[in-house]
Amino acid sequence: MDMSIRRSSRFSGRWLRLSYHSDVGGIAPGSLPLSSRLEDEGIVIPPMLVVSGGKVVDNVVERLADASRQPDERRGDLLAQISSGMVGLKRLDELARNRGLDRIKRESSGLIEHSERILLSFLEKQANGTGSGITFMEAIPDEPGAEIHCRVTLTHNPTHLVFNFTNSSDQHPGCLNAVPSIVNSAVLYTLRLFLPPDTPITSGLLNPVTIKLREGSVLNPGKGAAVAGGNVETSQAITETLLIALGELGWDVPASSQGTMNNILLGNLPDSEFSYSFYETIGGGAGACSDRPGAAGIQTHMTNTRNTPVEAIERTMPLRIRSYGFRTGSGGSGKMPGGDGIIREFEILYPTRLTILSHHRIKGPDGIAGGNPGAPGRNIIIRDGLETELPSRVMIDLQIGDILRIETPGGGGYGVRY
Amino acid sequence: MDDSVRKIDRVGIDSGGTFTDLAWVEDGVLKTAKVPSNRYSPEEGVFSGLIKVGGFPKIVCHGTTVGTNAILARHGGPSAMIVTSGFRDVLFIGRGERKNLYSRSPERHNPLLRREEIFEIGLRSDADGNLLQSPDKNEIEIIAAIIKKSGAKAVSVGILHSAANPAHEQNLAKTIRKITGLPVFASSSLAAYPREYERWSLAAMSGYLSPVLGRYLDSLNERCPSQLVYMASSGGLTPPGKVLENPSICVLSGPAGGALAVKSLGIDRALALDMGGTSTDVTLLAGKLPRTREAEIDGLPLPLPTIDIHTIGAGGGSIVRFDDGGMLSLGPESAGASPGPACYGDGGPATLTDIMLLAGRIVPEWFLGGEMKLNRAESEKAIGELCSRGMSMEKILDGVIELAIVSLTGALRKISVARGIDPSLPDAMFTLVPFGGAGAFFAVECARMMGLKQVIHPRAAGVFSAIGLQQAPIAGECERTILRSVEKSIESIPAARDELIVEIGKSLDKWRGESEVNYTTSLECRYRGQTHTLEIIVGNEINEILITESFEKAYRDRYTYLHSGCEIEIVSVRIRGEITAPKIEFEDILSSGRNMLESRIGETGLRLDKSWVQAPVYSRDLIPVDVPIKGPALIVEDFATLYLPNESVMHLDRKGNAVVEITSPPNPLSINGEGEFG
Repeated sequence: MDMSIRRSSRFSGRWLRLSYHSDVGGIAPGSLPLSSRLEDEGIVIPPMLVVSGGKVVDNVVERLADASRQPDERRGDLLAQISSGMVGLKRLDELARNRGLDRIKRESSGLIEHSERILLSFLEKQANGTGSGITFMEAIPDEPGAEIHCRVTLTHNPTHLVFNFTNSSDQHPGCLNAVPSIVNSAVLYTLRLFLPPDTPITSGLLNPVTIKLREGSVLNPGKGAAVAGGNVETSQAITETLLIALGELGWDVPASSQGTMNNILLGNLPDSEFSYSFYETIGGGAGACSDRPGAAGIQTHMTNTRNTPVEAIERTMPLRIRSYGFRTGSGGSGKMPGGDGIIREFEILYPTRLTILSHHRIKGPDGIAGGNPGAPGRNIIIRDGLETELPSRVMIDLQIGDILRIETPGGGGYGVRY
Repeated sequence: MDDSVRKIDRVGIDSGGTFTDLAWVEDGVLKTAKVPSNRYSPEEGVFSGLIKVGGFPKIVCHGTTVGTNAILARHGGPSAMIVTSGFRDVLFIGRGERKNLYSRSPERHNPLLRREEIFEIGLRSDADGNLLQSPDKNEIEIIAAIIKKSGAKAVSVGILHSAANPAHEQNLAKTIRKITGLPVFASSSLAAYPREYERWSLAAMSGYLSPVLGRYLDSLNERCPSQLVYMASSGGLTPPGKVLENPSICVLSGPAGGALAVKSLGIDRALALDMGGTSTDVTLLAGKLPRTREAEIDGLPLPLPTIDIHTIGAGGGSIVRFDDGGMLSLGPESAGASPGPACYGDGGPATLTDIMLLAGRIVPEWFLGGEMKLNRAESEKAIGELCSRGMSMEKILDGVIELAIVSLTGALRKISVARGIDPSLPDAMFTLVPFGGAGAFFAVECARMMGLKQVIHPRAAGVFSAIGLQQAPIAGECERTILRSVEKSIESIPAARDELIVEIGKSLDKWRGESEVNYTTSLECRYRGQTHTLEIIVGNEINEILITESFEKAYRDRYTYLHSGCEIEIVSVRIRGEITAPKIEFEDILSSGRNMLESRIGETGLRLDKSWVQAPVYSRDLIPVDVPIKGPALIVEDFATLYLPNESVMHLDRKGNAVVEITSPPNPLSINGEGEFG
């Protein structure tokens, strides 16, 4: 869940702070439910003033915090977010005082032009052409999947790169919808992978680029559509699609990575005495590159969150981690093999509501240039010794003693292994 | 060498990659020496340095990079590790994140042990220490036998929740030690740090370093009759026994010496800037040494209290180039010692050193004591090739110098402004202290850009870290996990403190000389539910109100707000015992043989404010005390050069430190003469 605190400072600068708050209410702990409307996902915050005249507006923090299952935790995070905004403003003021407004404006546009030039210098070395990619986000019982489709066209004189997503599915009835800013950031991320390490990320990287989206589609949904999975799962599918399309265009792309964040949300059932909420994403296999194998058990593409130490989880949550290790053999074979996924086992010590948002549970991430796909992931509940496999997206109640076993996908391999 | 010569009390010896530096005091006079290091046997540098001292002192205070290099070059071990069943891969997965956000082949840290060197054992408790699973004797014996047979020279042990409940892990360690006869490192004995990856990784590091440091300490001990103490990353000289108990405490020993030397100058508020050939270390000192528990080495966590030093990849060898967007850029790639900068004449690339040579900031005959012959034509050629991109030589010189200043200033801001400390407040103004080979080339401009008024370029800045070692305290630290709220733990803190004091007292007993052991108690605290902690120092009296007040003050200083109403948790209690080194007042520098006329040894053609000027060059050894010298000028000595830009005045104080006052108003734009205020 993101909330931005914006404040204009004395000069026309703006400080924007994006924070992910882990529970903002809604129908399930962690606020990433299998929703069908935006309201199911927690408090919907209209643009509102949080700080005015250097002071936090009365009740505003309480109002936002009280929407959460963990109001104390939210309050702390909101205060931290507000403070960082205050510090940011102070820095902007200093910058304006010390360097002068005209100079800042000149240097900012210089930086934007500079990153555009770096992108152009890369694009000019690539051949004209088109490529396309499709990713099928899996269907689950009672809910369809979604198809992400991208056709990329590169032309020269002037150099222009078009990403056409208009053939993607219609708006998703569930929570897989992604808003256009997510598509933008997936495109930026993907282009940045091909540029030198110190390339600044600015809007200049989108200047020679056109992104085409269709209104009412899964990538440009209507108002009120559920979007819980958009930022955390569809963003991964968009990146996967983009890399496949650019590969067809002849760029040196890696094989598909795990293509999911394996969002696991655990929390108490409604009206229980004890309240808790835990959210994490789990790393998996990275796709292999032409010159090196994929890394095992690592966060890929659109996320890079750290795991929570087992010792911290067990001290504060009614959960026990039974094992945490590589899923040996799950990386796709190839001249360069894909990275292995991860196996993480949770034992449930208190009646719990579980939500999983994941992908690649039916078909594994693709290999490339003859490399084999990685193994698909698995979501498993073990109750009384019996294993039940869950679909990619699920909301289910668990009992004390249940074991949740998440096996994350392996990465795709690169090239044929002889 | 004559063993009986013992009138010298202490010698500081700082082993670096290129040189081994020494500092000692003889008959009240500060003496220093610099000898070449021997990369393959660093003890040779130590002994050839001691020959210059002319005898063995009572105490050798040693800063070594043996541990650091064993990690960087991966030549420690062989060692093995035993961990809780189900968690063999923890060292490899780490915290799960990748190093570089934007890479087609994401990479992570590279652990010190191989997967086959890690063994699982069925030993496991819950967070409260209740045993859930314990191994039978047979299981332990089998694992011990396999490890013994594998040729491992040390064993590390990592059991879940051992920081909070050390007994299970330490019993296992004892048994393994007994069966194998090898040194065994239980993670809970090394750090009271309740996060398994960081603590286990530390245990793995200590086991991995144990064989190589053991050999090094032995070889020094055999040939050196002096008592040897080793600089720890936390800023205290540590007896060898304690080093062998936790070899990881020495891995960031090098930069610690510099921070201690700055502290010994007695400046209340200092920003230290140590710029060398490939990197720059910056540290902020406000009375005490700044410490962190989140230091890293080569991507591996070091969850021990470590002097908080921020390092950036900017040094004399940083490469100058145009990036793909046509922008002039500097580093972080470095030409290293080989081939080195273009002016070394070994086919090296255009570097910051070449820029400084052409901009007139380096006087060749004084570079590295005049031992390195610089080839100006090669610099011109290398920079000339860059000019083919349509930028004039002068523009490149001015641009790169500005880039260097901006990146150094960025590092200084990171340890001050970004941590809630404004170094330019008029009533709490910081002094910039440059040292290392290249620090003083840019220090005055950096200070001006930070809004500071004063730079002190210390005497003997080229062997500054050795001076820090010579004056460092002998210290020991230990800690215990608490992991309870202030309210619930307050009763138990005094008893824990007293036990820890007894423990440290024992290890320091033999070093108690004329000075007593001073103990400092600190608590690692956080709001409940947070991950990161703040270290607060507490006095003799320990009560809830005092702890809450100091925590809230530290928290507000750092994060600008308070989380009132939230429970404060004490993660651990820590004691540092310190025996202060005998205070040495350096002698005044001699005034005979110093005079202004002779000190002016030449001129240099200098780039200044976008034009060329002729500026005087002074030999620091000949400048009289208290005589002001105005910029622009260069002050040269054997291993360092101080650059004085316009609007700065320097004098030598009677201790030989160069004190620079900045006379222009704090106007960060003056470096390129533009001023546009919004």
